[in-house]
Amino acid sequence: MIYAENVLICITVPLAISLLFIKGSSRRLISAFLAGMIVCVFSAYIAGFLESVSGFSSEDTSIFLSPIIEESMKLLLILFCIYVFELLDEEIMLFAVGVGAGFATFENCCIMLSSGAQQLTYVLIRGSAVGVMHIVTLVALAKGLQLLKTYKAFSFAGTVGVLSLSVTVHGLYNLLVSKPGVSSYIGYVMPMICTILLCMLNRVSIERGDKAYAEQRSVDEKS
Amino acid sequence: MSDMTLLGILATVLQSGVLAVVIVSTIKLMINKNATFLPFMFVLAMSSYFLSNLYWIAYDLLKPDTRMPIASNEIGECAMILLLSAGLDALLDGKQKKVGEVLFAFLFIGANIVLWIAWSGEWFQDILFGIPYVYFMWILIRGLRSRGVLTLKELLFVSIACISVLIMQIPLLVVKGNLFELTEVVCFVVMFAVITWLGIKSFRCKDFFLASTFFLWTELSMFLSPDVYYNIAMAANTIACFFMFLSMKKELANDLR
Repeated sequence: MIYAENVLICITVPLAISLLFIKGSSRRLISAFLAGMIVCVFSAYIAGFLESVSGFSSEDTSIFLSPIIEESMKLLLILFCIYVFELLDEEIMLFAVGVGAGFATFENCCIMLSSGAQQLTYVLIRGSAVGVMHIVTLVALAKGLQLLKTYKAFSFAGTVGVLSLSVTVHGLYNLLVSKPGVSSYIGYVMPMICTILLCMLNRVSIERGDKAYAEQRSVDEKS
Repeated sequence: MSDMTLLGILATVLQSGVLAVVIVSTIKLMINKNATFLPFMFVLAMSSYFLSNLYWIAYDLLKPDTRMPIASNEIGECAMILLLSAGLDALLDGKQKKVGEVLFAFLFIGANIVLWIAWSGEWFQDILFGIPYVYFMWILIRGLRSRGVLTLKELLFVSIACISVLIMQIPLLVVKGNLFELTEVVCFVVMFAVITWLGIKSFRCKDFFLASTFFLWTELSMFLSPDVYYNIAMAANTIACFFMFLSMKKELANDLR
């Protein structure tokens, strides 16, 4: 048994103090990181509450309920920032990465403290699979929201659709790693594959953006 | 693992293969023709469906012959319906909400939800995951009517046929013996006749709204069918995915012209 709130205070205080001395995108990233950790605690509270109310076992809760709760909480945070701070496209991605990293870091800290970190293999798997998975689902979510915003189709259906997509990825990962054997190996590799695919997608969209910008510039120069 | 589960896994694997081809082809299309909103939403929707299938396969292999409490695969299907709706919504010309259309969509999907609950008893998730279908159906009706893809006669004919399938599902839940067998035969003949008609029509017209209607009806048919019928409806659903891709491609070509 660990006291997650105490761990949270211990990690967040130095980061919160550091906010006083930094500005710009670094400050935004650290703020998002902090927000991600806080969201992680809230998600754990809600999952714990629902576990006791629904009568699900802890395994069933982690497979079926946690993905829904965690992804919804992360989406709510991002939507809040999009609407309140009127984030630009690049800022959405920055914020999403920060929230994802904060969420994953805090979850890893709690798991390590409760179950120990003696085995290097376990620590590596924990870091490169679960840690990456939270960032991947949030980057996918942010990418979806970014594109919905770009095409001026920021509708309820689109937003919930993108959320459901990230819940499915998360749920599939949790299901695959729930049983030892081949399925868990596939599950551990899945976040890394998704990361590579998302990086490629991001690269293509950046290149396309540059190309469109260059074309626009040449048109402007001609006119 | 039972034979039916094994057959279900095989059908899902086949469908996933088709979906993978559809996703890759759409991405190629996006790269060649410079990304637009519709193929982007279509890729996201088909990816959700693909992931939902993967979830289904993984679940069947890891926990065979057990029922999921709350399934991520249903969330994946929900994502697919919502993302397709968002894509179709952008194509709609007239977005005025006609009460009759909204009411029809609500009642039709509502009747489906009642049947799902009667069969599974999972009222909460059936209602929750049924709501996106109401929105999807309303968009399809609006699109079909505003584009005039189907004549009023055809629309009426297909609506009556679909409603009669739903009505015939009620005795299937309560009666037994000869009456059950007779109703079952008639019900599934009508159901698959509608599937065939919509399939042929959407292949000829290559309209995205019509292909999506074909897809929706195959989905609803899957949910209303047991065992063998389920797998036949699933085969039709796989074909519908491919038809949707073809019609989306045509839509894109018209858009770029």
